[in-house]
Amino acid sequence: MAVTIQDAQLKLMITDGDVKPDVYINPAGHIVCHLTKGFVASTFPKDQGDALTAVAHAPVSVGHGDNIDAWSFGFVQIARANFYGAFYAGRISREGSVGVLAHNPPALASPILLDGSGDPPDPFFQDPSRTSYLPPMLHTSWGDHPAVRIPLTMPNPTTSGVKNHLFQFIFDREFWTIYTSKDPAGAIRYIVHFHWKVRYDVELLWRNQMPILRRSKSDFSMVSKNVKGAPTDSDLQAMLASPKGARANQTFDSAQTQAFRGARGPNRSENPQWFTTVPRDFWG
Amino acid sequence: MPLKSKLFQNDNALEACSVKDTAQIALGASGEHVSKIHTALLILDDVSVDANELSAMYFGPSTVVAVQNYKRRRRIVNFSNQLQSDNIVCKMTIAAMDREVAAAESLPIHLDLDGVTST
Repeated sequence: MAVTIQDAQLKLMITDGDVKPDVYINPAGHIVCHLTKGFVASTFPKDQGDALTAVAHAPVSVGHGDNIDAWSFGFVQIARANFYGAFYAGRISREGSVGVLAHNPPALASPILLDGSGDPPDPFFQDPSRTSYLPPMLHTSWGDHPAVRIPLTMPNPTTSGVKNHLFQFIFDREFWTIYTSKDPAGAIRYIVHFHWKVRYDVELLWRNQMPILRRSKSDFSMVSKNVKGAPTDSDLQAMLASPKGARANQTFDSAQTQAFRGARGPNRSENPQWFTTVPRDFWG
Repeated sequence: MPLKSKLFQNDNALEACSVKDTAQIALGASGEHVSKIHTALLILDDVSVDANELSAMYFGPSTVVAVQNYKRRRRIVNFSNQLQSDNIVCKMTIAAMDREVAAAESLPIHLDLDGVTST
């Protein structure tokens, strides 16, 4: 007999009641889109609290002679970057516009990313040592706070380098968080998961050279909870089959840097006139 | 000598301003050339003029202040008939702006990306 999770008695409790997408505008140079709970503006991105949390309580049976310490239990998290667009405009149309997209190649080779917090071993989101075993129960905690920071202005080389100002930012992501076991031979079993989405979608206007939030259509939603087994989305299957490699934060930070600073092309456009989407009253 | 910056070059009013005392640009002026001066003031001094003057491409009171400050910081004074900087875009002013904008245009774009991150 091996180590066996009693799936039917497993309890996965998710706490997301205080999650509220919001934006912190620092006139000194950037915005941070965050989920309110646990957000600390002064130290971001360090020392942030979790906005949503989960705990898995799993009864486990251990066969005679089996060693549960050789197993790992924890959460695996897969993220999908659906859209990332930061849009800037000069004060008047002649001062141009800049669009930055970071969710597509070449900046981001694949939108499906193995997520992680800190430096956990593959495939886990956090170090599986967060799991405690008090026979016959395993207790595993998880928490996350997806947030993003971007600059308020971008120079536009097509218009003599004049500053263009952020007027819209959209960052749409989905996450699948999966309670998972890994046996001593490395075999992974996805036990139960939940699926959630975070969409940051903010529009700014500028008055007296200061950014103001015009509108936020940001949203957090829990798509599904307590779904047995692994996610079935076809585009996740390759990652689920081989959950390893660079983690989402590193990969996406690199994609953002390339999109903002790399060559003009699919990830950044610099234009001598406004986009047609620039609100006429965005500068005042 | 024609203006060198991409922002100013081939603008008839600004080219004229750079060579003729009678073509100086001052309070009450309006047009594309004034708008380019507004852009130069943002690039060089990080000063944005009043939004109404900006959209109307008008050399109004806030443009006056911005130009005077620009000239004062650079000690642009016609010592033949002045003791201190005025608020007119004259030959000396447009030459200085053109030189500085051209220099800014030739520099690689600096972008501080310490602020870009996601978690």
